[in-house]
Amino acid sequence: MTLEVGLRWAVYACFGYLAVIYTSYFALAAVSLFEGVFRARQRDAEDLAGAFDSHFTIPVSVLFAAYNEEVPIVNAVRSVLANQYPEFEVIVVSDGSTDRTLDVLREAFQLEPRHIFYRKRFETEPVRGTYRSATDPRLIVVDKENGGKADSLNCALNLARYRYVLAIDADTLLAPDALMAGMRLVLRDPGNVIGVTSILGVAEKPEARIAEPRGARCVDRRTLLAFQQLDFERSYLTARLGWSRFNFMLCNAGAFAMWRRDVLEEVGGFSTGFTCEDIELTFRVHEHFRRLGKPYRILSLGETVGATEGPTGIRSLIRQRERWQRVIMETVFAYRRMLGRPRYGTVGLIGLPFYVLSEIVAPFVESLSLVVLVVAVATGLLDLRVFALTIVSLAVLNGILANVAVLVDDYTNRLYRLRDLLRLCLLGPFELFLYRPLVMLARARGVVGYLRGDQTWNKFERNARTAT
Amino acid sequence: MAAAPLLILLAFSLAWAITFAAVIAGRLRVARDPGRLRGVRRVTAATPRSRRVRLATDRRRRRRWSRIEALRLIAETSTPLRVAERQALADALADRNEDVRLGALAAVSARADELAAKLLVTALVEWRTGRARVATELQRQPREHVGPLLEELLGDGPPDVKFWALQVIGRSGSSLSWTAITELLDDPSPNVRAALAEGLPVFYRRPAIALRRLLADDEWYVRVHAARALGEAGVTRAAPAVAELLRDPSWWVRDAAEKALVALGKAGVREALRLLDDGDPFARDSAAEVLQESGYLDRCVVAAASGDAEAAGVLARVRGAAGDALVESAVARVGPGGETVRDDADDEPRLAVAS
Repeated sequence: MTLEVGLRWAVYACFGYLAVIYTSYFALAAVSLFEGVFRARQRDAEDLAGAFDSHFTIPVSVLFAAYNEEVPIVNAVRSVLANQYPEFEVIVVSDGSTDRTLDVLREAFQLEPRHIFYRKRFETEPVRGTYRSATDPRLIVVDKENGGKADSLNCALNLARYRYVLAIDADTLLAPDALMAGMRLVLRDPGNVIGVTSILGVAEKPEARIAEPRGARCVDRRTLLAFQQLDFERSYLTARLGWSRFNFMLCNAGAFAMWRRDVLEEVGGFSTGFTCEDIELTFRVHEHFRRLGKPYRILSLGETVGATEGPTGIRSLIRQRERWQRVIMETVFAYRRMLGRPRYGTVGLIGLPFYVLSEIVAPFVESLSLVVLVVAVATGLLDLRVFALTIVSLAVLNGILANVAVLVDDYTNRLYRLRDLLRLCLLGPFELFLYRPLVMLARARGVVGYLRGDQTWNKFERNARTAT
Repeated sequence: MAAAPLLILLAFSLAWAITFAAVIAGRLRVARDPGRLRGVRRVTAATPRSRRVRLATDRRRRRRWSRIEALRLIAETSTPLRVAERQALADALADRNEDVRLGALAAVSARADELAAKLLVTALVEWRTGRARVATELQRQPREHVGPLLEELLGDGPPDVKFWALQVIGRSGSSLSWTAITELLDDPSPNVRAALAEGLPVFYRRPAIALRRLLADDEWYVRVHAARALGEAGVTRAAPAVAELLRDPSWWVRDAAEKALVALGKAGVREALRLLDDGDPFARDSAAEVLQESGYLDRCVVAAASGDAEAAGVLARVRGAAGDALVESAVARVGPGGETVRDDADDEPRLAVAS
């Protein structure tokens, strides 16, 4: 009898959790939809044609940290150099690469050794050499001892000259207008906007996708990559846009993270004490500015600013998501003092509780819910039809969220072919059955890894293609 | 038992279908109307002028997009604007809502006539934030329209306005009288002095005297701009004064001085060679970097490889000044025997500067 009562309450708790989490998802999606449409209209109403060649447009330093990235790095750097933006520089740090990363860069951009004296604001692993491109003097390449991504970004930051920096991954290919898209809101309010991120497409071979014209771009044929694309769209366009609205944007993602340089200097640069640098830095900046009561904005935008490489195999995907989960655990634990504290405003009162609920608690509760509901059905406590209808309802709810994400994406970017948009919409309801279990598994492994103190990067192998 | 969940599922499915249809409708609808501000149905090209004015003066926040669209249409009017239309543009440029202001800015700027110049200059004066955006649009206007209006602002205007006026004048290639320049040299705002320094090579045919004075300014960024301007203007006589800035406490000033010396060519190299033995390690490093960036170091490596004692001496001094790395990278660049050195279009003896 006691067991039955306990199980009954567990079933109620499961439904309660689902009600709370999906209500918050939908509330956030509604805010994101509003924010996405608002930002798109704002962009359309504003004419930036003059800013593309204006002396008054704030220059940007683009920072790459590259460890064994011989395959994507050249195209990635080319995509940045091809950006239509008045003034910028590109600093690539080869983080003790053991493959041909430096060689392919040297060949592609005719690198010449140059000794550069720079301000060592941040201590990093020793620099072996610095190079400048003979064909494009905006490109500087640094070869240094291996010290991790954060260490490399700090090294790049030491050399960066401009007021805003954009840290991007070596497999990120930028769209030709990406810098302007990222800087658009900075140009409006450089005093307050200190961080910006924006959505990227996911593809097996980003260079092929980025070359496709607006309105005719395909979503990758592989279902796993299409699900990742959908996952990115949901994350950015039905969550982060909403976070931005309330100024608790908790992850200025490493694939496209724009920061005001003086802020990075003020908070001590990228931290090498965490598995990954991006979420922790975002939390640190929030903590710093909220503690000091200084006004600031960290924004996530709806513009697709480029494409990044997604894992094509299930194992690679799980490794990547496992690392993300570890980073989230590390960061939330490190900044737990912000949780629920009015001093930290929306970050402490809304953002962090939501993050804990959806990212930390979710792996446990989702797994537990599944077990509880199955046991409840097996013991006759829950009608099988109700169970089945609940699961299908959840799938449809996920489908609605996916549709909202696709809607915002298309309204903002007008990038993909209609048939690809519809494909994403149709995949939405199946996400719960085909994709979410993988993410749940990765998250569970991430939790275990975190508890073990694992801080390895677990980089997935780059998809097979020729180094340029 | 399962009736309620079934109804819920049906409701969810209906919501899914609606959002799915919205994706399709969104794509198809917008495809019909390219070039129009999306979501604005109240104003079109066929809207009468009087109604456009009414919409363009509707200050309600939720009407801002149709207001912007109406402003665009008004600004695109090819016939002379009516008083009410001009007033609508002027009011929108002074509106509290930033979106309306920026929308009006784009609309007005597209006209590129005297009215646009006048309205934009007024915006430059009145806006508290975002003056850089106004300056960007002013840059796109014909010089003859904006030049005189901006020069008027250089008198007693607030420092921020003077700063932006100077920036735009400098970028538009207009000149200033010596009297105006001397007044601005004593301006209490360092921002104004910095903008003056930046634009001096454009404002005045012989900017050296004014720029040399600004090299000694108390504010570091004024010195930065003065050094850069001297480099850009190629004032070789100022090389010794610029070289003094290699000892400046500010990294940015040293960096600017270094680049200016590179731009000054032989005069800059001569000063860099002199500072290789300076007591200040930062000055030595910067001097050595000037030699590297000007290509002089590479030529020394080539000459030293062919037995030139003077070049070998310079290399030794560079090693002493800034360590081995600089010379080693030069050797790596040109090859040990100097075989890959790129020949600059310099017909004088390669080490002429040193001697």
